[in-house]
Amino acid sequence: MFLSFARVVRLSLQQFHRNLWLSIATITLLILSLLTVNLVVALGAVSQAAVTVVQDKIDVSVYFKPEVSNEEVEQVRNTLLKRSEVKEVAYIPKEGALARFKERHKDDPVISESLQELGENPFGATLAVSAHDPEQYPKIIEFLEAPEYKEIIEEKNFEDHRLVISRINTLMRNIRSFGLGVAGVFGVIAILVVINTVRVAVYTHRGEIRIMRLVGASSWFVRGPFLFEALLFSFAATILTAAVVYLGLYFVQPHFDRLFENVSLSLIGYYSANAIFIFGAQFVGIFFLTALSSFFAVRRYLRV
Amino acid sequence: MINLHNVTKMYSEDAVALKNISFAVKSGEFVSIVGQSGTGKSTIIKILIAEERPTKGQVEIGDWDITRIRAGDIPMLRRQIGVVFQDLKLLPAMTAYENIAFALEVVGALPRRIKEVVPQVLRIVGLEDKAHRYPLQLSGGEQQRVVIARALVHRPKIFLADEPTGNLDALNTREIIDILKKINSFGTTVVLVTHNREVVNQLRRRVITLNGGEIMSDHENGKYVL
Repeated sequence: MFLSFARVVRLSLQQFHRNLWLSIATITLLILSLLTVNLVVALGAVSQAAVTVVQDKIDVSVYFKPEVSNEEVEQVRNTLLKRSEVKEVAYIPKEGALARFKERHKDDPVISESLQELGENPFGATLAVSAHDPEQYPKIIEFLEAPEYKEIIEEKNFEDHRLVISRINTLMRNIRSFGLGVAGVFGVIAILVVINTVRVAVYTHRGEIRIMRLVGASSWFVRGPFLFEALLFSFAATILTAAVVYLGLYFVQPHFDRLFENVSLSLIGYYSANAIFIFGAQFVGIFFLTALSSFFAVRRYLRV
Repeated sequence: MINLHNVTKMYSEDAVALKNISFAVKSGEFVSIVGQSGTGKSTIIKILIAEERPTKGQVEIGDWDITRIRAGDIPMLRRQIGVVFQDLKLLPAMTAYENIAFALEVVGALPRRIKEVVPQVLRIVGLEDKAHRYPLQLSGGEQQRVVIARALVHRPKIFLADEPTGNLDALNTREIIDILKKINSFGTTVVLVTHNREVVNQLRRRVITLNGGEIMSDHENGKYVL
């Protein structure tokens, strides 16, 4: 068993070495296929980051009536925070609202005098509610429209944001669909390239396969070197793709930062944080594909 | 040892290679199968190593009914038959030694056995001094001898040679036939497929003559009659 495995490995390395140019060409094509996949991954990360930035800027401000106490507002805040769709609730107490107003109008003596004449704080507390997903805002609004809240809430600005939120939701859905479409098309192209590359590599060995069969080699002994070669090709292609991707990102990141000033996304950081998953999945995928392609390509020549 | 019962091989309706042929080869026999090109000689070899299946009839080698052989058993069958192919089938990237050793490696032979057997068979075919040459560095006759050596490594009970002298000059032809006679003298059954009149006539062994896919004659101490 071990002897056969060692011979399979040796034959595979011989095949690799004796057909070095074909091996290099095969690995290059695998790298190009993987780079296509990485382009889709990077575009996905960038579009997701851009959408997140816009998403984070959306919230629903709930203005409470001045007579509502801070404790009551705190209670509403706690209830909101318990809801699964709510990500964050920023609380601005009455005093905070007044201080903020004063600060904003400190150079306007008329407003300062008016406030002094009123003698009391005319502002109510405010809650700024953010959802995990923009599509969840209508649910939050529905919750706030319950009769017990209607009496204490003076105003909600969701109506102002409704159009923006709706547009963002549509945009996000379109980006997701487009991303999936692009990934699908490039995925099919990459699969076809890999299958064809492996078929060519096996085709060049058809004479050897025939001879191996005629001198009594079992099917698995013939398949073994091709499967091990698929493992070598996949490993080399994944490592080299990772190197090219990191090198590319190193040069692209400064341009990216300049282009999207408000989007703080380090693609290198994103790749590093998910490297095992991204490149691990690519290695498993490309090995599965090359091994399967070689299995079927060799089968054709095994019928001797 | 080898039995063919009413064997027919049709590649298509109008391409019939063998028509209802029957013959038996005894253990230790030396049989020449002769006939012009396209009469089905090589088809018999292909059927005997299960490279082709007969359309009708039954083929037995020892206790094996190879008309019903399972795909997984074919390698086992081939390990018991030495075959010299018309087109040699040597691996160009391997030396003579490696080509011969390869036939042992694929069946899982231990390195010690390979080191013992390969020089032995190289000696039988007289190529011990050219063991590390690649096929392209050898003459046609030498390449043919490597193929014979490779076919011998499993110490087969049956040795099939398909036109082994096809592209050789008279001297090399004689050397190859001498090697086949030597193999037969060890008790191995030899089936030689050829259309070389001189070879067959000099051998003076059993001759089966094929014509148009049918057996035209089958004579002990026969001659090339076409």
